[in-house]
Amino acid sequence: MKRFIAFLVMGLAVAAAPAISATQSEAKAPAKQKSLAQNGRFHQIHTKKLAMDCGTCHQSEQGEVVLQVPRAKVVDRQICLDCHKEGSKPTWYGVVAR
Amino acid sequence: MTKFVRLIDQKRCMGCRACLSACAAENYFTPEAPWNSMIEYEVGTYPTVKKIYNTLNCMHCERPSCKAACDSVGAKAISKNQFGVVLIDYNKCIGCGYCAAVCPYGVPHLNKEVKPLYPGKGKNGAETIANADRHPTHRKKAKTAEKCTFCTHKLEQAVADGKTDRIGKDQAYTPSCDIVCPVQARMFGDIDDPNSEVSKRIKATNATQLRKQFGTGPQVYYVLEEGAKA
Repeated sequence: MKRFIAFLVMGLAVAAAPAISATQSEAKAPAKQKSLAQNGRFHQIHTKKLAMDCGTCHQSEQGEVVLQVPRAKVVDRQICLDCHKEGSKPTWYGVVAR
Repeated sequence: MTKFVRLIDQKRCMGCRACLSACAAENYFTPEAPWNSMIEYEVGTYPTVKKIYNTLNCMHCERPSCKAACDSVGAKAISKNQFGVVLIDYNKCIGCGYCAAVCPYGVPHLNKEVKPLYPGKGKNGAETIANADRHPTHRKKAKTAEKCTFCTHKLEQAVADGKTDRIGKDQAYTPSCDIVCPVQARMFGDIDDPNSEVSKRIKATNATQLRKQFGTGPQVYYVLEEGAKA
């Protein structure tokens, strides 16, 4: 019986190991994965999962550049607001916009 | 409650950039991550045109989108303190840049590399101070997001000295950009105090915030020049 219990505990530990390691790697939030790089998580979600064209966000080099520090491929945050104001999506913006 | 706000009067601003210089010196900012910027644009139709000078630093929003994004990636490097100041903890920042991506004002900047303010000319006076001797908000790190802190080191000093009533008045306790303005286009103080100068002037000038449609509740108010973008 003792052998059986020991075997059961070991079996459970082996089975749970991948899940535990996955949780740990998620907690570390590697910058490589969560980055704004073209192959990073941010662009992957928007272009692969949501099938958005680059041009949906990167409409022009100008955009609302007057209120932002000029830099390449500025995205007008107004485009973000079209989606990110509802409860079902990650909502960055405040309650007034909802 | 105390809630610090800034008032910027576009009608007074002449675009001299003294506020930018003061910030650069006070906060050791690096070329890739300016904490204070000047945006210029023209409005009107020739011959009736005018130039708008819009200085832009962190809005220290009441509901900061940068913090929401940072929390969602699990870094939790951005916090908002009891004075309403939004701060980034460089030791927790993972350099993902999400804060920069979601800020409606394009404020946070990812400091890819810590370079001297004047590349090729060596470190200037302030940059020679060792990291350990600096305030935590001035301990620059590569691959870390940075932004204006409302000169929180000065606000902390005011608290430590028991001089919170001098915030917005004394050089030692007021953000450097607000102190140096030669035309008094900038003002800093407690909006929750109805008798404070900033509070009175916001009311008197009907000052407003920029890009209110994002609902982030910015704590920087602007007296808009005619035709300027809100």
